[in-house]
Amino acid sequence: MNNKSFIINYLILLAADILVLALCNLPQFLFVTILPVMVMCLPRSVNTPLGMAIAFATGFAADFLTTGALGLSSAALVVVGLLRTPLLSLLFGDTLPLHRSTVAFTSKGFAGAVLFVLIPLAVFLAIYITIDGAGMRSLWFNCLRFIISLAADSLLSFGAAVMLTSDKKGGQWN
Amino acid sequence: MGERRFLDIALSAAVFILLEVIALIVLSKTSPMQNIWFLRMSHRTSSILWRVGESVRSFASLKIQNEDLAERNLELSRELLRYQIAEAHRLGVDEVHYTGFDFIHARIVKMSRSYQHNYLVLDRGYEDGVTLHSGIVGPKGVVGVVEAVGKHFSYGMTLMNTSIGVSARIGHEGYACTLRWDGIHSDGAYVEGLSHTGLVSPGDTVRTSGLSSLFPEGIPLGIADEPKLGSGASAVVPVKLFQDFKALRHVMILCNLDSDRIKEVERQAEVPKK
Repeated sequence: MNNKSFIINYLILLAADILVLALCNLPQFLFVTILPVMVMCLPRSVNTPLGMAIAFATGFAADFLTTGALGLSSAALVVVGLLRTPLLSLLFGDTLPLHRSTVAFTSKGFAGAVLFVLIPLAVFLAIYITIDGAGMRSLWFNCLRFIISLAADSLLSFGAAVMLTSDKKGGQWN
Repeated sequence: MGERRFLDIALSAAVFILLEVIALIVLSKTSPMQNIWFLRMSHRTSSILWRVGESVRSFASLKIQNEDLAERNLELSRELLRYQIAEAHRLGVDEVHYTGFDFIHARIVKMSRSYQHNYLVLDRGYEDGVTLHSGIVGPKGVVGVVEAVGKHFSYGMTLMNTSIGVSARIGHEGYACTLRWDGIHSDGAYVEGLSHTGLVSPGDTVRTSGLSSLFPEGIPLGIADEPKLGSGASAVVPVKLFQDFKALRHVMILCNLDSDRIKEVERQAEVPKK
C-alpha cells in the first residue's frame, strides 16, 4: 500500500468512527472506537514524535466532530502513539524490513495479531474510561464498560487493521 | 549511536508531555466535570507531597531540636537550683539539695552497651569545666561517672558496669543501700545492702542518697520490684531503671564545686591515722 492509499483509508476509517459516535445512539456501557489500532497501523517510517502528533490530531478531530469532551480522545490516544514503536518492536522485532510502508500485523501469526489489536485498545480504553468517569462513576461500571467496549472494539479494530495494512502484493499475509 | 538514541527518547518524552498537557488543558476548559476531577486530584497530590516534604523536613531538624531541648533542660535545671537556694534562704534552712553542683550539658560521642564494663565518651572536657569523678545524669536518671577528662572530651563508666555502685535510698523510710546494674538488661538493676526483705515494697522509688560527692540527693533511679533473699539474711531488690540506655543521646555532667574541699578534709582525716 502506498502512502496516498493509506491516507485515504485512514481518513475513511476516521470518518466512519466519527459517524458511528455522532449518529448512533449507543448504550452507556459501549464505547465504539477503532482509533488506537489506526494509530498502530501508521507506517514504520513515521517516528514516535510524529506518530504522537498524528494521534493527537486524530483524537482531537474525533472529539470535535462528535459529542465527546474535547481533548479526551487526544489524551488517551497520545499514550498509544508513545507506546506504538516499542510495542511494534516487542511484537514484531526490530528486523522488520523498512521498505514496507505499513506493518505486517499478521506476520507473527494469530497471537501476534490479537496482541497488536488488544494492547493499544486496552490502554486507550483504560485511560479514556477513567478520565471520562471523572471519579463520578463506580468502579464496577467502569470495569463493565471497559470489558464490553474491548470485546466489541476488538472485532472492529481487526477489520480496520486489515484495511489499513492490506498489501495488493499479498506479502504480509504469508 | 547512544547519544542519538538518548536524543530520540528525550524528544519523544518532550512531545508526549506537551501534547498531554495541551489535551488535558483543553479538556478541563471545555468539560466542567473533568475540571473538578483534575482539581480534586491535584489537591490530593499536592497535599500528599506537602505531607511527605514536611515529614522529611521535620526528620532533618530532629538533631537541632534535640540540641535545643538539651540546652533548655540545662537552663531549667540551673533556674531550679537558684529558686531552691532562694527558698532555702527565705526559710532559713542551710542545707539545700543540688547546691554545690554545676550542670554542664554534653552530647554522647560514643557509648558501648554490649559488654560487662560499658563506657561512654562525652564531647566536653576540662576546658568546659568538667572535673574528674563528676556524676553523669540523663533526662530520667543517673547514667554514670566521669573517669578521665581530656581537653575537649571526657571518658566515663556507665551504670551498665558491674564494678559501679551508686549510693541510693529506697522506700518511704529512705533506707540506705547500693544500686548496681544487673548485667543483663539495659534498664535492669538491683539494690543490695538491706538487712531484710520487709523494708521494701514493690513500687517503691529508688533515689540517690547524696551520701557520696558524685550525685546530689534525690535524683530518681528506678522502681523497686518484689524483694528477694540474697546471701545470708540480706535482701536483694530488683529495680527497673527509669533511664533506658538504648535511647540516650544527651546528658548533663554534675560537677561538685566542693569536691576539692571534701578531698582536703578527707586527706586531713587520713593523716592522723598514719
